[in-house]
Amino acid sequence: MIRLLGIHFHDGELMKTKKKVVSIIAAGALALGLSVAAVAPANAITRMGCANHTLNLVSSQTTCWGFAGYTSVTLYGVYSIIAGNNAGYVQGSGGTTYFAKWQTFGIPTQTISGIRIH
Amino acid sequence: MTVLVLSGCIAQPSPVPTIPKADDLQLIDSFDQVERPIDAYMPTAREIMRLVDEHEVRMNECLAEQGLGTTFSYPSDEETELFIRTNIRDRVVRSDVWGFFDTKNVNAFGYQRDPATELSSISLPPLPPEAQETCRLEDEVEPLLLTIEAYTLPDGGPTLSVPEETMRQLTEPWRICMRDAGYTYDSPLEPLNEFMPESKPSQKQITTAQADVNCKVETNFVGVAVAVLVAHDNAYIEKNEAALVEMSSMLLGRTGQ
Repeated sequence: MIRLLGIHFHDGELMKTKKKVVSIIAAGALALGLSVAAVAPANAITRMGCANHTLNLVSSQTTCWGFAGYTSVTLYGVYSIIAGNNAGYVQGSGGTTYFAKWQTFGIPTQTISGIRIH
Repeated sequence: MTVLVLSGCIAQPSPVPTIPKADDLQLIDSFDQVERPIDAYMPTAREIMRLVDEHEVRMNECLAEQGLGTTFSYPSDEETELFIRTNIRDRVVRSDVWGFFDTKNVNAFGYQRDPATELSSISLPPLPPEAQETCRLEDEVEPLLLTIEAYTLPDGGPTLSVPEETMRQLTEPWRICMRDAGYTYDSPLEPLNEFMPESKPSQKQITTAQADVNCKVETNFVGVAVAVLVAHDNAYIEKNEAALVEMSSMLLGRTGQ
């Protein structure tokens, strides 16, 4: 039996719960030292052709992304972000940069290792 | 650490509501008139700042456990809170449904944000390589994403369930108004996308944004859209009440929601 935040799950129930849409973002669990992945849309982040609505990571080889989710990448020399219709963050050698939708801004040139879009 | 992953299914769309007539509704001609039932379940800036502080503490505990001589910190409270408030404001002034509706700043900044009062990006320092696996952000609740409805709410929230056909019907009066004003856009999100690359708003951008907002007021587009969203919100809240209460309690420490 697994106990999480006072809610008892048998293994079978936990599997069912995993399949349900439940947004138990558990600060309490975090306090207990458990890591809880926040409920997010299905991980569908996709590299795609660049357009006004895509997240464009600008470098000598610009890449463009869309749909929600997270992906690990290795993108060298990224110096600008065009957010398009996307909010989220990029992780890189310069740190983690969170961004709002519909903006263009520069970042210190760096290697990007992760992208999250919501 | 035990990792519990709670993954979501694809949300089932809500029944398509009847779209009310603009004239039957209160005119919404300013962004600060927009109110929705789901707003009560979205974290406030203060609540997110508290989670930011808690996250900072946990990260530093983790770094100390690793025996690393580094610390982790968010930018200043002022900067962090400004970023949070900008994103909260974006839910209304840069909506996924009606697009741009910043009636306060449109004449000066077009589609862009006022740099004096809004902050649209923020950077956190990198973790040492030794801590990047053991103290990873993506395994935990990410406070700075809690302004986003689709991230925070069960099923991605009510706005995600508005059918495309409903969106199309909602936007038609605005599209016609814009066409009469000399602008051809299929969606209210298009002009936002079009002018995004500009570092400073051109006169064309400002003029377009003014026409955009004027058409939304003239057609009461936002008033009608809010009425549709309110219906979606109420159906969604009824369906997800238990999960919403649990989320509010456990994540935000709220009681008696």
